Amino acid sequence: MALPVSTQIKQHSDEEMAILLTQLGQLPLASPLNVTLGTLLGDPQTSLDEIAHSVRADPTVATRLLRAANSAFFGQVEPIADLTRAMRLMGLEAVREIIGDSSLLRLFSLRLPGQPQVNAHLGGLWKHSVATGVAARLLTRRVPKIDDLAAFAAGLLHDIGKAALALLGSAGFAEAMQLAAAERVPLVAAERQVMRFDHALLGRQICEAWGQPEDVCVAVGRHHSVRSGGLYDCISPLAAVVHVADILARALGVGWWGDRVMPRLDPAASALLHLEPNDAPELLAALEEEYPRVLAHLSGLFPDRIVSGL
Amino acid sequence: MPTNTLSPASVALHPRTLIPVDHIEPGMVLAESVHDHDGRLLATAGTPLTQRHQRQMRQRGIMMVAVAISQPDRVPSALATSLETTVVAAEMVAHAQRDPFMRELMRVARERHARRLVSAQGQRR
Repeated sequence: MALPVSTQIKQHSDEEMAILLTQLGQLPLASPLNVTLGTLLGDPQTSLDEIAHSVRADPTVATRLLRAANSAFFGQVEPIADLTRAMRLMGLEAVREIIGDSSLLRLFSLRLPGQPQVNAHLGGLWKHSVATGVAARLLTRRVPKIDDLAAFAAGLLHDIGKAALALLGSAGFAEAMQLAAAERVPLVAAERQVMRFDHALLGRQICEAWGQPEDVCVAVGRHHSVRSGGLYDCISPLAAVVHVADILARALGVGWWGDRVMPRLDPAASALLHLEPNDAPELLAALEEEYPRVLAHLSGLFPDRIVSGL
Repeated sequence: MPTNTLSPASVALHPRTLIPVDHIEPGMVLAESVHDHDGRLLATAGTPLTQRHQRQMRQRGIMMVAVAISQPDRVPSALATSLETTVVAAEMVAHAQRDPFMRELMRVARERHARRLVSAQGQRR
């Protein structure tokens, strides 16, 4: 029996996203990771015990750390089974390196040989993502009860779908970029028209597959549509923060994000964050000051890595 | 600096750079169409610019335009050739919005970019 056209389209786009996710799974991106970004950000207050506590929640990373501690490099005679002891032995720097290696953020630093355009896009997306993460963290001061690390993570990851589409050489994504440029429409609209899904939805699925916290996944998925719509229409505060952070990062003008159309500021997001015209210069100045420091720090954790055989 | 007229078809493929409206010299060729903040078309890509265009753009609050470069080695600044500046300024020029916060954000951002560009040009001279 033939399915209705809308269902067929949905099925088709679901299949395509599933294929993309499978392809991503073959990249050297490691595993689900729930370790807090505080670990990675070099917060001097974070002790090895605290890191060990969050790493325990993620068996893949824990196994990796134990394996590294027991490797010949550290020259242990007796095998180490205790995570905290293993991490003490390796030292904070080595621990950070292994955790960073397992992070989804690693996606932005992958580089393909002989693909300068893709590499430039990934490098540009990285800058834009860091700026969005920094902006999101700044904006959390304006909304009660939003965790600033969750906001930072959601900002960093909001365009992970674009990074995946660029990295995997999606023909639909290339076509959508051309359409967006020719018609002067937002990339997200062009993606929906060409691919029947968009980078936000794909990004949400990636975040879910890589075990990110649920509010982060939702914010990534809804950064272009902060209202849920439907019968129980509601706004996701974290998505609203990321939506505005994305706009601020575009205004800062660092990096690349694939289109030339500033998103319309969602009035609900604007109201939630109490945005007044006077805030614009202040927010942009704060972002401009904070961004280079965070970029330098994070880029140190994720140096470019050339991969082949995609 | 560019002086030749380009056909609309060839200008699309031409190297381009962004310059502040104040730096427009008659005869420079527009590489991207310019719209005012309400979306009205002021000049199409490929048009050789005149002082009248410059005046009109100033009146409409446009600060940056993309012009075609006929001699790529004479790009006014390294910054101007970067992917990001091109993208941003086009966004700023063509898509300012009615929301008061956005209007102010765009104004501040445009000023910042113009300043950065001018200082980069100064350094190169």
